[in-house]
Amino acid sequence: MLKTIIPTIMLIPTVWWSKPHMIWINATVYSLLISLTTLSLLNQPSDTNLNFSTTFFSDALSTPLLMLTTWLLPLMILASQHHLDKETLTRKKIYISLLISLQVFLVMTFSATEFILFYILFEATLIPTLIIITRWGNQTERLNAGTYFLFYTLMGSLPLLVALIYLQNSMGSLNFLLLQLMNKSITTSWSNSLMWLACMMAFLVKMPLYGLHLWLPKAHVEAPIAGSMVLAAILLKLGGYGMMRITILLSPITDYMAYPFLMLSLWGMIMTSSICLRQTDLKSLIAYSSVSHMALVIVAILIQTPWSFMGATALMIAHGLTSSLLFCLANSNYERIHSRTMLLARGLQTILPLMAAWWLVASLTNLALPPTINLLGELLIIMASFSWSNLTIILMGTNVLITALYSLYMLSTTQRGKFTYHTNNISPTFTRENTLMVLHLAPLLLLSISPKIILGLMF
Amino acid sequence: MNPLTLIIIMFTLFMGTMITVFSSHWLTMWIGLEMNMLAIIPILINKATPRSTEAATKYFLTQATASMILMMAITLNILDSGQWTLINPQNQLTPVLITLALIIKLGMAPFHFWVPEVTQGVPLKSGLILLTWQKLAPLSILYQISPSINPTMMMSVAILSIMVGGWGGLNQTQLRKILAYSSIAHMGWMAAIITFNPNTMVLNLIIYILMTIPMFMMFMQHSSTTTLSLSQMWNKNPLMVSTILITLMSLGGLPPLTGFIPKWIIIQELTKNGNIILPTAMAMLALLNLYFYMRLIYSSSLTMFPTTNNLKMKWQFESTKRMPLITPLIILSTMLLPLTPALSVLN
Amino acid sequence: MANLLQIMRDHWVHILVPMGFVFGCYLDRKNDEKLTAFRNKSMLFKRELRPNEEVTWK
Repeated sequence: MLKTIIPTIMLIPTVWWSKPHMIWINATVYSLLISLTTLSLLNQPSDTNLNFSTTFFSDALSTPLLMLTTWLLPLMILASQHHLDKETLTRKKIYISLLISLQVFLVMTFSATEFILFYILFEATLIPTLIIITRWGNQTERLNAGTYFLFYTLMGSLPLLVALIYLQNSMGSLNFLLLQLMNKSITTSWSNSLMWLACMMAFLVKMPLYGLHLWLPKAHVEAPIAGSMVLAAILLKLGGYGMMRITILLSPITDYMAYPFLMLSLWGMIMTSSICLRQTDLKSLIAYSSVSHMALVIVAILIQTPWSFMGATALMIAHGLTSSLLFCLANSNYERIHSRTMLLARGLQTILPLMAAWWLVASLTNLALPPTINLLGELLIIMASFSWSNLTIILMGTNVLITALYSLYMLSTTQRGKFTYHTNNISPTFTRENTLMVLHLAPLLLLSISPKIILGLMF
Repeated sequence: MNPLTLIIIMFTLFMGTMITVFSSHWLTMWIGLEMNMLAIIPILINKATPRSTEAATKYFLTQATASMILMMAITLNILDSGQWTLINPQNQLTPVLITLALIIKLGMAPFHFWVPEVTQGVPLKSGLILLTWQKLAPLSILYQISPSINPTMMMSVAILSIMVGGWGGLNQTQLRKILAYSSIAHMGWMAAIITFNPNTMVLNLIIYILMTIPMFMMFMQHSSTTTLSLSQMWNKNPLMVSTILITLMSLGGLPPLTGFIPKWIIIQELTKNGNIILPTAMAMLALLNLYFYMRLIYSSSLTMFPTTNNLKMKWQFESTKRMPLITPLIILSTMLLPLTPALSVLN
Repeated sequence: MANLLQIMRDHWVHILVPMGFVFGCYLDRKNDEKLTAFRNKSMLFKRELRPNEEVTWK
């Protein structure tokens, strides 16, 4: 894994010593090259995992997430160029360095072999994200959003640390690779149920579960574009990844402890999609749509069948690319209109026709049109939950319907209708923005040709 | 202060702590503590203002009370065992009294009220000595009598200190008071572990001192004692603003930074000894501390204070205050976490 | 010659990331060798030891 981590660290001096007009180009090109080298991870000769060292490994679950992480860095750098136009050179460099350090932490998180190391790096991603949100956000509410983000996550994850240390003392090891081979199941007692809660709560807050999701729309709305992108695309997936790893430990307890959380996320899925229907704020709408999609992932992971795990992994990757794309589109509107309100940006189809095409494709992938990988993920999850309990099809079906409705609502509000006066002299789309959208869409569409590489451990 | 006087006072301060740390005789230990306390008084009223005199008086009164309680405990010990040597006291009362005296000396809750008041009244440099060097002597005694300390009492003190240290700082805008409350909270963490693994307590003390010194040095560099003056630092020294951010996060114990080491190891030790609820509660209460550090971070580095100031371009002029140690100390206080595996010697 | 020096001075930053990659590859390879040396008993994972190389599990 060092062949990804060390060049990523070397990106920081490259940015600092580049010529002023070259910083964006150098950072983008080199991070793109690094993301291309991670393609070699796809070649996994042994069935179980690719063991790089005693500290880092990757398997079929973490490889797609690793590739998504490295793929997103050049996209974030591309997307934030306009946002930082008026900043001084040093601040631009600090901003890019923060994004790079976030990638270093994320790559290490997804490839750690040890739970405590995973925990430390999971928390380490908080600091660069927090600085990006609260330093480069736009409104004063960003400070509030930063506090919510930090403290929700920490409140959830501190019990996890205690639980992990307790487990290490009782089991002797927290190595992911060893845990798969141990068949020592924990007993069903009250205290072990509490331990289950402590282990899962950190990830349920991070996902987020409905009811613990209040930090997410705030953080998304206030964050600059790169912050929103990385938050939606990768940081939420840390929760799903962690849950899939830790449920190995908690096998008999999950069966009965999962019920309230299953109910909550099934219900929350409908609620958050309905919130999307009456949302006026574009970024907030996309954020709530993320919560609703992540609820599907929570359901899938808690059901614990091979099909649901496959669906969860596929949906995490699909949602990572789709929501990041939607945030980019919202940001390109924001940079022209200077408002997140959808009503102020009507009828953009006539002015920015190519952008309208990207909006159309993005909305269609968001509502899981065949043959995208979003459909694949949702279908696997819906089938898995149907076989778990037939009644869930009512909620799942309603959710699919509402998702389609709010995607259509978003598309028609922003793209169709008469355009307003203040949109008369907005700038046309840049090649940079179109490239950004294409780079999001290309993996989405290409993956639908061969989705088996994102189906995770169970495939 | 006259250089000669300063040397004598500093030497007495140093010797007092050293005598306490190295002696095994109760009377010399007590004398060391007294020397230490008497030497710090002139340092506290270095700049004689009514506020600093008040602070020194408060400090003297609390410390003298604590010393007397300690003396009483020592006397009881002699009557009981007949010797002055520091062996673990056999009767019930003596260790309780000694712990009580040392808790007052260290400023742990419920005897914490003097710490913020005294720290607020004295200059930053004296405050630094007060919050770091002055903790060494009492903690060394606690370290030596740790097997006979009553665990229940120490745990209650610990959790109360962490709570008070977090709670008290919430409403503060004065930097010295904030650091005083942070000191109370860190003392709480040390108290929690002392009955289980005294070596970990020493580790926590070292790391706490390592993080507090650069914090004070950065404030001294700009003579800032309020959040307001901290918020104008961004156009005096932009680099230092970001180091304040990272050092404060380390002080709050966020994971990839040095401040997480003691928290991690203490939680581990407590969990190994069958405590689950206590470390969870301690970790949660430490979030209160993080909250007010976050407020400092927000006002110093993550926002720009909306003010028209005439300090523009001040960073172009070289500072007259030279602090060569500040860079290595900041690096140590933030980046030591990867060295944690080397700490397995503590067990 | 001076031209080449000028180019070097302008574009030397481009060496940093490839250098990091090569260094990372080297460390990964060394680590792989270390890990596989343990397995020279196994038919599945064994690796030909170099002449004079000691087995690590001894």
